[in-house]
Amino acid sequence: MSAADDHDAELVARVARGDRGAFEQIYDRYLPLVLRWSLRETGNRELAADLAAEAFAAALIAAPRYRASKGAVGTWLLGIARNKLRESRRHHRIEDSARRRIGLDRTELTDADLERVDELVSLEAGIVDLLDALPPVLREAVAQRVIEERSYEEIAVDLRCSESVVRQRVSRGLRTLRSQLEER
Amino acid sequence: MNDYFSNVKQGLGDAVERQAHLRWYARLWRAPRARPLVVVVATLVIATPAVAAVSGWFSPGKPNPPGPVSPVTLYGVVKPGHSRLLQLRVADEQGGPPWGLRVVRTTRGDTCVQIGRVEAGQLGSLGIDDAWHNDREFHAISPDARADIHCGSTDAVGHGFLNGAIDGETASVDLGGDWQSAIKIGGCQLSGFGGGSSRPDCPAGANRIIFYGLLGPDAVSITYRNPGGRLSTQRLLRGVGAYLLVFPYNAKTCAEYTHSWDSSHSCNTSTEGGGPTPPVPGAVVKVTYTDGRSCNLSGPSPRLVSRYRAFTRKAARELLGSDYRKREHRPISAKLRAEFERLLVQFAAGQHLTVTQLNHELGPIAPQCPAVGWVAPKEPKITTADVATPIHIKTLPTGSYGCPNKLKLPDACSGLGGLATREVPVEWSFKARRAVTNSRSWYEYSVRDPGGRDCDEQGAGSSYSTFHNIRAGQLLRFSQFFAAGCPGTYEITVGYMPYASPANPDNGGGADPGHDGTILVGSASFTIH
Repeated sequence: MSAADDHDAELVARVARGDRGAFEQIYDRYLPLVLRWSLRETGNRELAADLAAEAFAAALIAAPRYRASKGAVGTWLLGIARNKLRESRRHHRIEDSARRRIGLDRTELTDADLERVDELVSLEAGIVDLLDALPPVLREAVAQRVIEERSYEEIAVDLRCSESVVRQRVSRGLRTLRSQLEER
Repeated sequence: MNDYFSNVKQGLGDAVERQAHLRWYARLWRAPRARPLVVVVATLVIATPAVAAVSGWFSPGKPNPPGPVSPVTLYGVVKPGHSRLLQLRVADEQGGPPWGLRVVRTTRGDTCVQIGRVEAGQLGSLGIDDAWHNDREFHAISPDARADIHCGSTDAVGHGFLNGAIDGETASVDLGGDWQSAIKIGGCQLSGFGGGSSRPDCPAGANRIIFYGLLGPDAVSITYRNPGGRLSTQRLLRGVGAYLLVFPYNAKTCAEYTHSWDSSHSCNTSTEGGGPTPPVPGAVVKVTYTDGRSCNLSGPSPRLVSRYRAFTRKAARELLGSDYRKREHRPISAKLRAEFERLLVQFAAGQHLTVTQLNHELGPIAPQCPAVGWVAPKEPKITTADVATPIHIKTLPTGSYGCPNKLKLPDACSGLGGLATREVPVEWSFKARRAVTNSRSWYEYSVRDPGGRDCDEQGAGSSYSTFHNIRAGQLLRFSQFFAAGCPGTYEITVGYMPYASPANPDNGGGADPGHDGTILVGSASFTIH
């Protein structure tokens, strides 16, 4: 197990002890992974988002039982997601028992949330490192949207262009980054 | 950014803090929110001529067709002749045929229930609220219909143990489901549900929240909360311990039964099943069994919880200082703990309770009911010696693969994204020494990756559980693509679950071969250079 894995295993242990900051680190880091896997398995952005939320809720409950010997945190999270998907297939609906257990409501997704799914699944490891290689207009749009998590409206005001132009730039930027990542 | 994922992060983060808070001070049930009284509408009745008269305005229509099914996958299909409409009837607030419960047995050993409206001794759905083109007819649901079926464990003598809740069910009986629906009959969707559905929003009053369960032969009654909080006790159907509760579904009842409604959230269709414990939070607050034992699922009184929370905040401020929020999750000294215990005794005395009584009143965080009356299957104890077998690994040439691809692997796209990337395809296989014939048994594997921050992103690690029948001696094949840029040694571990406990139907911790009731079958490794 690598030092990074050790670090993440320690984060999970801290989550089990009630460390909110540790949970947020785990969530930020692994959400793209879990979401990408969920999207691949369900083929539907809404279901994928629902499944990912349930998987993280189940992980929170299971955190005290996590042992580093089980494998890396990513493996563990995907295992949870896979089992949640199995249970969901049994019931024809994405499970929400973990969220209910901890009092987290199921919320509906807006069109903007669905766009966010696309962005998050594009967040390959190392993709941020390649930002500098993008043309400045694309880099600015991607950085503001993906890293700073600003709304399209805010970015449009900042860059003095329409929201649709911002969306195009973000989309093109992410596509370029992905192709560069694949060539590595 | 205030989006879905930020809200989830916020909600889960709150839960982390709440759990820590609970652990630090004492066990504390999440407090149900006090809500104003709402109209009580659901009444359990035994079928009577009066009910039959009300239901008569629905004439028979086209029956619901059975959906596509497989007898050897998931919960299987309903075994012919193994369905029984129970003598439970629940009146609906808008009249019409009462609600009922049908119990079926499947080819994979599950006991399942189907919920619908009852007319002339048949279970079905209604042509209202945009279902069935609003023909106002009754459409019988075939026992082998795949949709809207909820399954759980069956013990060695045939008793089913399962509980569940359906939030937002339509009064017409929503057979479409949300996902992989087998039957398309139209109908409405919960108002504000979104999701790009072509269904119109349901009119006000068209949705229900339903609680159902089979608690086994030794359960005699349940105590449940009506909307508004009034408690009622209901004797269960003898022999199966069945109950069915149907209430109106709206913002108020959603809040009452799920503790989660507020102006920024909506309550969506959901379900949970399996196991001997009614959904918590939910309507059922107590189960009583024949031997006098009971399982208490009620929370403490909201007033006591509110006072206790105020006490813990005050105590924390007193013991840790005004910045207690930053310190309360850290371990505390024995001296501080003793001081807290002293304050706790004082608080309990102020409530006319001892600390033991206080803890009892506050109750456990996540109560579970035992499977009272469960008869375990009489099977010989299975050990690793009975299931151990070699795991064979085949590594295919590294290349650029996307999904779909031309490789004929058992899991064609596992580990891949849509775009082609440099991957190492790996297939592994083993001969199953023991058969899997029911949904409570399975083989599972986990893949332990060599680590590396960047490599997790490729889905290098994973786990999986089978969900279909397997013959003894059958060759099981699995595959996955591994990122070529993630060198190191990968370990694959395989396990076998002989029979999952009914009390723990949800393997929420992920597959973990050799642990949590599974028996180690074998392991093998491969290296990516």
